[in-house]
Amino acid sequence: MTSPMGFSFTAHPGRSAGFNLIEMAIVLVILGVLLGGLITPFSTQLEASKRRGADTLIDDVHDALLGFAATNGRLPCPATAASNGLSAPNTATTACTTNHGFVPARTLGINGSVNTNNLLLDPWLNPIRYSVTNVGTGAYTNNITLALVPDFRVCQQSACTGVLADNVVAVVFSTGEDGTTTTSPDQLENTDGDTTFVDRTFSEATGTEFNDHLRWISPTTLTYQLVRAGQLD
Amino acid sequence: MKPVPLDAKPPHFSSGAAILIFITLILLAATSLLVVELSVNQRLQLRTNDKASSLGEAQQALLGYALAQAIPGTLPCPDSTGDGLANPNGANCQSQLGLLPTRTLNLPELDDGSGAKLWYAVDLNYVGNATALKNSSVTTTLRLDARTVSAVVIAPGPAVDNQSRQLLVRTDFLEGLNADADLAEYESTSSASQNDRIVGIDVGRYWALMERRVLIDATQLLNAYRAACNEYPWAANFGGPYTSVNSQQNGAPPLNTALPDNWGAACAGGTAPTPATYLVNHWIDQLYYGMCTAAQGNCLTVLGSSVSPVAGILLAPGIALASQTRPDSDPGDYFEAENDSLPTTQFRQRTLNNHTSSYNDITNGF
Repeated sequence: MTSPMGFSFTAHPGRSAGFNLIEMAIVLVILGVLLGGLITPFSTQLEASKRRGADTLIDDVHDALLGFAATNGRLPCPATAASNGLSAPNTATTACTTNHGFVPARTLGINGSVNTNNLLLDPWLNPIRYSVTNVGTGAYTNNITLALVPDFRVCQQSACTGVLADNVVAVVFSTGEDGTTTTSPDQLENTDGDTTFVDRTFSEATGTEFNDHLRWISPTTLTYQLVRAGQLD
Repeated sequence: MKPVPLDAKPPHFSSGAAILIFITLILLAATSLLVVELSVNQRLQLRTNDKASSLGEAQQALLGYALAQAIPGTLPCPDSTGDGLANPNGANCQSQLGLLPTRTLNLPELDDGSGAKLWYAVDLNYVGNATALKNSSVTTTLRLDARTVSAVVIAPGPAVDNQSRQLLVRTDFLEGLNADADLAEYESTSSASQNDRIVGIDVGRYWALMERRVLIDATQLLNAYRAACNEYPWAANFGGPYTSVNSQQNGAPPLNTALPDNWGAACAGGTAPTPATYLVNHWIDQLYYGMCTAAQGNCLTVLGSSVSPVAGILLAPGIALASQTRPDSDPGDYFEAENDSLPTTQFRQRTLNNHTSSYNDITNGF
């Protein structure tokens, strides 16, 4: 007699049970191989999804900052761990508590996951950073004028042998999957509190990895928004 | 063959479970394929969105760049070498069509979603060292679908036909009129063999925005003059010379010589300011000015504005409408509606969204 699977068998109950076990084992092995093959793409997909999520979140913050500037004629100060998600201070000022802090999500009205300090979190649950230039003695957080030339720059590497943008007003970035636990000079450059930042392609090479997600505010885009909104009158 | 016992469990029940698992696997595989296919479509859609958002960002940055220049209305030359920097060449550009100069604009390296950099063409009267005056009466020759534009930004899209994508070779990225030798004529036509996406900066919108900056600067100048000298300067004759005429309250702003005190003079309240060089060189014959004396207070009415009455007003003309010929000493060749019947104490303001083919003045009451 032949089974529907095409295997021949006898009617002996014991032999029949043994055969089914082998059959099941084969199925389980195939299933295991298939699932094993899927696990890697799934984890890659999950990580890729987090990276896309970080980009979207940073785009939202970028747009919210431009909207804030169009409404108020200035940018907000960065939030600090103690400012409860608000710009520190939460008013027009030439003296921010710090020029390198976190996204003032409450001041900008951005919804998203926050930590106990009300700081907006990236998909890896680290607070998203925001730095604003202090050029013109804090003019960008007080009253923006056309004559200002911002002094942040964005480079392709920490040594800045390749420049992406020479005059940048502010940057928003996620420290990526590894947060601040990195030895990569290009990633350390973004959190060292100076006026140079790095944006380059994603890399997992140990020691030179780069998984930060960074976006900057160009003075040209900001000027357009301000004049269109009548904020430079 | 042995006979099958009557109480033996039919073996096909167990084999059926295996078949069910195989069917499940096949269904899983089919579902995965479907999801992957949907993801591909989603990615294609995202690429289209990327293109649109890159083009919009480029357009805004170009307008912002032009607004912030020492001579407002100046656009950068295209990048002809691929380093992100504009490449001027004397009073001209190395090429009228090239890559968008992202580094000059302080933008990220924008691409069109398929990995190709954005292209950019500019009207040569608008670039840095061009001899043409930078004002709304300048001649514009750049065309997009027969519409005059100050610049165009093009997203090339994926390669079509035999494009080999050699950097800076326009025919390897662009198609149709966008790729031909006429660098002043562009089109937005779309087909299977022509997939450029293009935006143009409409010349009317461009100058309307620049004129807002010009009026801000001119207003600050006049207010600073009054703060120092107690009165606004008397107006000059529209059409020139641009020197104050005693007791004249309507006409052109007196950018050459001001009365009762000249620019830069020591007044009772401080030193009178001096006009920005670009105002004198590029806008002296383009603006209209009305003023009240301190004794008259706010003597000017601005219809359509929430800021009215006012003590002073400046008008910028927008680009020449079909019925207007410039240069001319007749304000009617520059201004429209109530603003056309000058001199007057009544003016008309309309927001940019309410500009029409018969009204495009920019006004600023103060």
